Amino acid sequence: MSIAYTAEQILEFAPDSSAGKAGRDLATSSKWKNLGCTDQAIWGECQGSGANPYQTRADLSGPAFKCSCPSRKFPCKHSLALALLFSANQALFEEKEAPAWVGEWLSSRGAKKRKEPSEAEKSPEQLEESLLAKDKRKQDRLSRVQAGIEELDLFLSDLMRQGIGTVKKQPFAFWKSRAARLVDAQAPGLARLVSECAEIIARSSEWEDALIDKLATINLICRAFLKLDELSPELKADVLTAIGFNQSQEELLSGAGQCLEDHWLVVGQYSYTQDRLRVQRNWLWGKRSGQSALILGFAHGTAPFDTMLIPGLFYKGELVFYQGSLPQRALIKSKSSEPAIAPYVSGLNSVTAALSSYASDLAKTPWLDTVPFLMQEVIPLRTPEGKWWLVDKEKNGLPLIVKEETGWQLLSYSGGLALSLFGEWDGTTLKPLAAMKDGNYLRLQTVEL
Amino acid sequence: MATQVKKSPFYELTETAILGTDRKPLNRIIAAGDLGQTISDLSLKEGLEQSQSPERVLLDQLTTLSIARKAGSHARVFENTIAVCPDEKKQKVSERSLALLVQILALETRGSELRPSKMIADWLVFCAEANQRVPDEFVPRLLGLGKNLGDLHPLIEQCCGEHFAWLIALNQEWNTTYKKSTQEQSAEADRRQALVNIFETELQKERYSALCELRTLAPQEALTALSSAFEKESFESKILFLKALNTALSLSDEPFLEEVALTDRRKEVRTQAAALLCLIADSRYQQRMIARAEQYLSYNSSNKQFAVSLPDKIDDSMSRDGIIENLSLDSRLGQKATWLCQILSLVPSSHWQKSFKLSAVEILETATSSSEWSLALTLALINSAAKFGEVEIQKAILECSEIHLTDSQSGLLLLKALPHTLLENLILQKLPSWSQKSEQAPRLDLWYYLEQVDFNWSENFTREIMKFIIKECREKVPVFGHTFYSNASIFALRMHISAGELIEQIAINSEMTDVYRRNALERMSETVKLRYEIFQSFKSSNETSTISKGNKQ
Repeated sequence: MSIAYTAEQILEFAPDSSAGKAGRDLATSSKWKNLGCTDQAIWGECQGSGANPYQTRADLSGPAFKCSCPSRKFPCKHSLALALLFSANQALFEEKEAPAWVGEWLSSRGAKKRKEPSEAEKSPEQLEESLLAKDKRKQDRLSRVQAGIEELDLFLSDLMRQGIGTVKKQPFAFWKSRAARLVDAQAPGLARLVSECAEIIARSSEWEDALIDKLATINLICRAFLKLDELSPELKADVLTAIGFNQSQEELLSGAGQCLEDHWLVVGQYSYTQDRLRVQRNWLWGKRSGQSALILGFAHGTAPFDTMLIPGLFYKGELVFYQGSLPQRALIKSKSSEPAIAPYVSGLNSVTAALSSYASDLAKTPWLDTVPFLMQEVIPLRTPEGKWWLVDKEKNGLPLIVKEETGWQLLSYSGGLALSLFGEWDGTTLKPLAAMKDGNYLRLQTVEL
Repeated sequence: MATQVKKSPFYELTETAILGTDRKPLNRIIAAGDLGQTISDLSLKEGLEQSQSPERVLLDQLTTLSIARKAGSHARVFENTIAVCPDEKKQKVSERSLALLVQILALETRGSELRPSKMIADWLVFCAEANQRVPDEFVPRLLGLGKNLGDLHPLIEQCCGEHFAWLIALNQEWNTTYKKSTQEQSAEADRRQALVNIFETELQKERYSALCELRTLAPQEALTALSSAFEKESFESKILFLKALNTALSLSDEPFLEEVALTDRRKEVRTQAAALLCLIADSRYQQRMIARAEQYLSYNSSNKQFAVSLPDKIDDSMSRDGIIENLSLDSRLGQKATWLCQILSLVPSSHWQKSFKLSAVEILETATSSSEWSLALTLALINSAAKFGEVEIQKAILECSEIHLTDSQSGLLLLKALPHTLLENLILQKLPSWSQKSEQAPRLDLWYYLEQVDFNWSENFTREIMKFIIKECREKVPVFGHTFYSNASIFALRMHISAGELIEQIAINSEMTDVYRRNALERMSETVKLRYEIFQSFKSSNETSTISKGNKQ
C-alpha cells in the first residue's frame, strides 16, 4: 500500500464527530486481529459486541470501505479505526494474500465500475422513442418555468412598488412560500435564490445592498430566460442551469461535455446542508492547465458523499465539464487510483489581476454566484477594527469573510510572510478555504452563512 | 450658509428600491460615465419605447448597478503590513504527536474530572522536554486553550516557539491573558511591580496568583501589599489571601497576623490567621498555645500515662486565638474534648517529646492507651503531624496498626500532607497484606491513598503498583474497593508514564463478571495507553532527530 493518509485526512471521511471519536478510540492494535494488506486494500477483524468479530476492509485508493457491523453510519467507526491504525503504524499490517471476504468485495467493486450505461443497451426504436419523450418533457417543463417566472416577475414588481424596506418585517414564510411556488414550477435554482433572500435579511444588519444584489441576479436570470431563443448555446445552457435544469451526467460523460486531463489538486472543500440534503463543494485546480473545476457531491443523512476527494492531494485524471460560457462545474470521468501529495499550483499574482479576472467572468455570466481565486504571494492581516484582509505585494487588499479563529490560524500559518490562498470570491468578500506554503497545504474552516 | 450635499444618482436608485415607487417615484437617472449612460438608456429604452412599468425599469436599473458594482470592485490599498515572525529555532512536533494532541483536545470532560487538562499538561511537558513546538497553524488554538488553564502558560509559551510572542503582540485578548507569563521574562523589579499592580487591580483569582508569586519573590513586599488592602477585603478574600502567606512564613509576618488578622470580626479569618501563627516558631501565639496546652496535659512518668484535664469554657483569649466553641471534629468527641483537641492540635509534637522526654512512638502509644481521652489525644497528634510536618510523629502514626487514617477527616488531612516518599513507602509496605485472599484481606484503603495526592508517583512506586494490579487481575482476587473506578482513573493520570509499558499485561476480558471493575480497568488502561503513546511519540521523534543529527555530523 503506497497511500498513507494522515489521521486528519482519514477523519475527513467520518460522517459525524462521534463516529470520528469512536474510530479514534478503536484505533489501537489490541482491538484488532488478522490485520493484513495488499497493494490494493487493507483489512482486519475487530471484536465488537457480537459473538463474531466484525470484518472490516478498505480500498484506500478510492477510498472505499466495507464492514460487516450493523452500523448505519458510513464509513463506520471500525472502517475509520482500521484506516487510522494503518496510518499510525503500517508495520502492524502483514502483506499477504487477501482472504475471500476481501477478495470478493474487491471483485464486486471492479464489476460495478465496468458496468455499461443502460442507454447503450436500447434498440434504435426505443432510443428514438425515449428521445421524443425526453424532448416533450423538456418542453412541458419550459412552459411551467415560463409561467413560474411570469408570476415571479409580478412578485418582484410588487416588491419594488412597496419597497424592500417593508420585507424586514415579513415572516420567513413570505420568501419560503414564493420559493415553493418556483419549485412547483420546476425552477429549483430560482427557488434557492429566493430562499437565500430570507437568509440575507435574517443574518445581516446591512442587508439592503446584499438583497438588491440577490434580486438583481434573480431578475437577470428571469429576463435571460424570456429571451432564451436569442442566446448563444453556452449562455442558454448557463441560464437553464441557473434555473435548475440538470444536464444529464450520462450525456456529458459520453461526449457532450468538454474533457480535460490534468493533475488535479483538491484545493478547497467544504460542505453544508440544504433542505436536509448535504452538499459538498470540491474545488479542483489543474496543475498544467490552471483550470478550476467544481465537483459537487450530495448525500442524505449520514450517507457518504458519492465522491471522496481529500483536500491537499493531487489526483491524475480526466474531468468532464458541464456546458456553459464559463465552464466551472465538472464530473470526474476517471482518476488515478493513488493520489500524489505535492500541493503546488500557480494562480493569480495580484489582487488587481483577480478583480479583473472576475469582471471578465461576470461579463460572460452576469449571474455568476462565486468564482474561485487562487491567490499567490499574499499576506493575511487583521485591521485594528478586527476585519481580515488579504494583501498582495503591491499592497492591494481583498476583504476576507472568515471565522475569528480561522483568521488567527491563517495569520499564524503565514508568520507575516507571503503564502498562497484559495477561496471563493462572491464579488464583495473572499471566503478562504485553504492556504499553501512551502509545499504544505492547510485546510481552513469556512464561515457558516 | 448650510451646504446641501448632493446625493449620488445611484444612491437615489437604492433609496427608491428601499422606499418603493409608491412612496418615492422613480426619477430619470442622469449620471456621468458609462454606467450612468447605460442606466439612463435603460430608462429611456424600457420606459418610453416599450411602455414598461416604473417597477420593471427600476429592477433593470438596479440589476445593472449591481453588476457594475461587483465588476468594478476596487482593491483597498494598505500602506503598512505586519511585522514578520522571527525564524523558528525549535523543531516541529511529529505528525503523530500532533494527532495525539488533537485527540486529547477532543476528549469529553465528565463532570469535574481532571483527565483532559492533565493529559494536555502531559503533552505540553513532553513537548517542552523534547524542545519541540507545535506547527505554526496550531499556535492560536493552543493560545486559546490556555485562556482557562493559567498553570499551563509557561509550558504553552515554550511549545509555541517564536510565534508565541509574535502573535500575542497582535491580539489584545491573548496579550492580557498571557501578560503574567511575559512579565516573568522582564527584569525582576519590573516583574514584582507588575505583580503588585495585578494584585491591586485584577479579579480575585488573578490577585491570589499574583500574591503567591510575589510572596515567593519578595515575601515582605507581598506582606505589605496584603496588609495595605486587608481591611477593605471581603472575608472570603481575606481567607484566600492569608493562605498566600504560607510560603516563606516567618516572624516578620507575626505583627500583621497577630494584630490585624487575629483581631478580625470573622472567626473564619481568625482561624486562618491562627493556623499560620502556630507555624511560626517562638511566636507569641505559639507560646500562648503551649502554655495553654500545658494546663490540660501532663505526663505521669510513674504510671506512664497522660494526665488530662478539660477546659471549662472558651474564654475570650481562646476565641481570639481561633479556638471555635461549636466545632464538630468527630461525633465521638464531646464539646470540651473537642476544645482540648483543638488546643493540642496547635502544638507541635516535638514540644511534648522534649517536655516529657519521650520519643514520638512513645507519645503516640501513651496517647492511644489513655483509655478515656485516647481519641481526643490521637486526633490532636494526627492534626499536629499534618500541620507541622514533623516526620518522626508522622512515621509513628503510619506505623501504628491501631490507626486507620481513612477513618477520620484528620487522617485524610495527614495523608494529603505526607511527603510523597513517605506515602509511597507506606503503601508499598502494606501491599503484601492487601494482596491476600479476599476473606483474609485487611482494610482496602490502598486506592483511597492513591486518590488523595496531587503529585505524580515515582517510577519505582508506579511499577510496583502496576505489578500488583496485574497480579490481582490474573488471580481474580476481588481486592478492589467500591471507589476503584475513580481511584484507578486518577492513578492512571498520576502514575510515572515510563511504567506505561506494563499496561498491556493487565488482563481485561469479557469474561470478567464484575462489570464495574472491568469498566474501571478499561478506563485506566485507555488513559495510560494514551499517555504512554504521547510519551513514546516524543521519545521516538527525538531519537529520529538525534540519529539524523548524528548522520549529518
